[in-house]
Amino acid sequence: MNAMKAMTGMQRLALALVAACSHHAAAPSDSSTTSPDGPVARAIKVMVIDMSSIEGGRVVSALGLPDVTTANGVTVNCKGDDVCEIVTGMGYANAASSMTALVYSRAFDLTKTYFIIGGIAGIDPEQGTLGTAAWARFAVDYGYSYELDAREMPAAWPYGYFGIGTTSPTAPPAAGYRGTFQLDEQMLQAALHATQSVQLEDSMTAQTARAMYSSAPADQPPVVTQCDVVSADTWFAGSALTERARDWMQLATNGAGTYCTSAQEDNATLEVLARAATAGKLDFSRVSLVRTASDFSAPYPGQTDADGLVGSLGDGGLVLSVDNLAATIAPLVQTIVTGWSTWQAGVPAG
Amino acid sequence: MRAIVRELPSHSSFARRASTLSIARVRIDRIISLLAVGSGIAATPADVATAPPAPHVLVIAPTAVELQPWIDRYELTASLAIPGLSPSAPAVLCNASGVCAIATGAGKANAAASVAAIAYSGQLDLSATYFVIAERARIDPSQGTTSSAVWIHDAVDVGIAQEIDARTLPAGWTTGCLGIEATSPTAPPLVQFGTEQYALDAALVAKALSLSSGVALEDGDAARAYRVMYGSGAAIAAPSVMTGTTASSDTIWHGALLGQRTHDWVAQVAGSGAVYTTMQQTDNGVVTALVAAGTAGLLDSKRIAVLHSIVGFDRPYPSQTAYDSLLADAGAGSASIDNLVIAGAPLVDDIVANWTSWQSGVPQ
Repeated sequence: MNAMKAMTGMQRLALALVAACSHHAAAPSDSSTTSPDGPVARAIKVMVIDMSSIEGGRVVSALGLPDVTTANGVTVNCKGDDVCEIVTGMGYANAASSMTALVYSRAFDLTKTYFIIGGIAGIDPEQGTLGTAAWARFAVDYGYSYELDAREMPAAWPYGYFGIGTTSPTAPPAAGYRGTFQLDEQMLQAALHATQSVQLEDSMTAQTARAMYSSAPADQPPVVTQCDVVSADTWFAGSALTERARDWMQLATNGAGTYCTSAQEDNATLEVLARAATAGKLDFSRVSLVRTASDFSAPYPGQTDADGLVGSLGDGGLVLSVDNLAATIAPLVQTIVTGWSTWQAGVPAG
Repeated sequence: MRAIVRELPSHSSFARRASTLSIARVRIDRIISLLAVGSGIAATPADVATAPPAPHVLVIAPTAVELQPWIDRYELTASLAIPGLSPSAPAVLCNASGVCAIATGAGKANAAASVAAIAYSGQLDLSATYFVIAERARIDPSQGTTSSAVWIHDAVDVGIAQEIDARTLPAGWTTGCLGIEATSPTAPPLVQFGTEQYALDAALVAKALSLSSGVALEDGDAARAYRVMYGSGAAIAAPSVMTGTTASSDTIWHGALLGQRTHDWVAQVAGSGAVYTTMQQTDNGVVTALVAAGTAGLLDSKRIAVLHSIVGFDRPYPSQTAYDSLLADAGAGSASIDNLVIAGAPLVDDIVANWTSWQSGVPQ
């Protein structure tokens, strides 16, 4: 049993709070070294993107990243020029701001870098359980939306959310919606291949919590899987808003995506990466995205939405999700770095 | 140097503007040199090559529609392409008097990404620049009306929250929205993102208000007829230039119940003196990016003004449904575009005309 597992729920939360705030510590400037010809950009093989320091701290210790540097004011942890990690801060605004600072920093050459977006998330009990690690093919924006309070919405609507510029919850996103990203399929398959046999952590607390769901996969041990992520600053929970996530994922991907995880940053992070790819700063086909489940986004049968949301802290998912995030990312990082002579030209075929 | 002010009768099409930009691009070297003069940088040929232009004012609009009146008014014919801007608006547009403007794209992610891309580009010297975030917004009808202009003193991100469907509330809950890791809608959040609330510089808000309080705002018959439906209070008063607190969220919520939740949450986050007034999708994204760049030493994040031009209400009038109200045309579409510049120009003009006073901070 490691130290984190021995903590009480409140101790873990306190740690999360300290960690969440720590990224705001001021960092002065771009700390790239210079040569007579100007800054020497470090060509990085892998950049792991975390959102909170509770994620980042576990990932950094798993990967062993002793060098701390700053790029345009954001802190980056690295091991030589092989592997680095950034904590963006939570929510869309922090993610977009920090990622933009990173990708336009002259401290790094990111043109051949593999980006692994890795964070904790809510999970649909129809797709996974506490501690599940899900690699995403699609990332869909849930929060960029219209919303009516469900008590004031038209009769027979299933929930109060519907797409901006549309007239009902059954309408697909309007023209101009930039809220759907599809990640590179070859990269996705390589990530799954490198991590599918990872032995994920499990815990007695999580087993007790998930047993209440009485159906698979929610009541089964966590595994590495593939399903898709929705993002919003607003952390939704409950049956109706989970149903909306399932429906919106389908509408925004022409039926190709399957909602399973809910996050608070991914579309912001991906928007910055997509723009930077257009600008020639990086290769978007080298981006992968994994979310590990810290809580269920829908309650178990008989549980209220509110109890499912407020009670989730006691389910043991937070520790599992952070441990399994690091456990899932590490083998992919290792695969890329040890196979760099092949990977530097792109994701190896098959 | 005072900006050349020119009124255009209508807004040119995007296509026409795009073609103008490509023509304008060949003039960029000339404009950069003029900007350098305007900002007090000695514009020798060598300096033009090395010193980035230093705008006095950068207007930040979410959309091309909200950018257009600034292009027209200030003849922003020079185009400076910066990597990482929105694909639909990939350049900063400037004139020779130190006024620049961009469209970021809607929503907090686009807003933060575009503003940060400019800040870290090294292509503009923003160390003394004043930032004017100018956009259309909706208003709480108890606080004001359409065609008004609101200078914002506090920006609260009401999207940073947890939520359950409001039909399943426990006893005692009046809304399904609550703070992150909170135990009820009235409990404080237990996790802070750091971007939940920004208080803007009071001296700049006061200056912007005093400079613009006498302007004649545009209004229209359709807006007048629509606001009467609200029956009483601030909604049916004449449009005015005012101050207020704004609520940011990527989610365009609508209705009395979510309006009450926003009112209550804004007061809880920003203090009881902060009365929720307007809602929009951008501000906490822009300000977050500017504050981060300020911390990195690239700009002064006290120099941020936020102007909202009111295009509609955030909830229905009596007898109207929330759905009908959200999708209704409140009649202020054209006026709200015009009023961005009508209310914003006095501040921009004063900064440009009296730069020697403004460059070290907001004049007394």
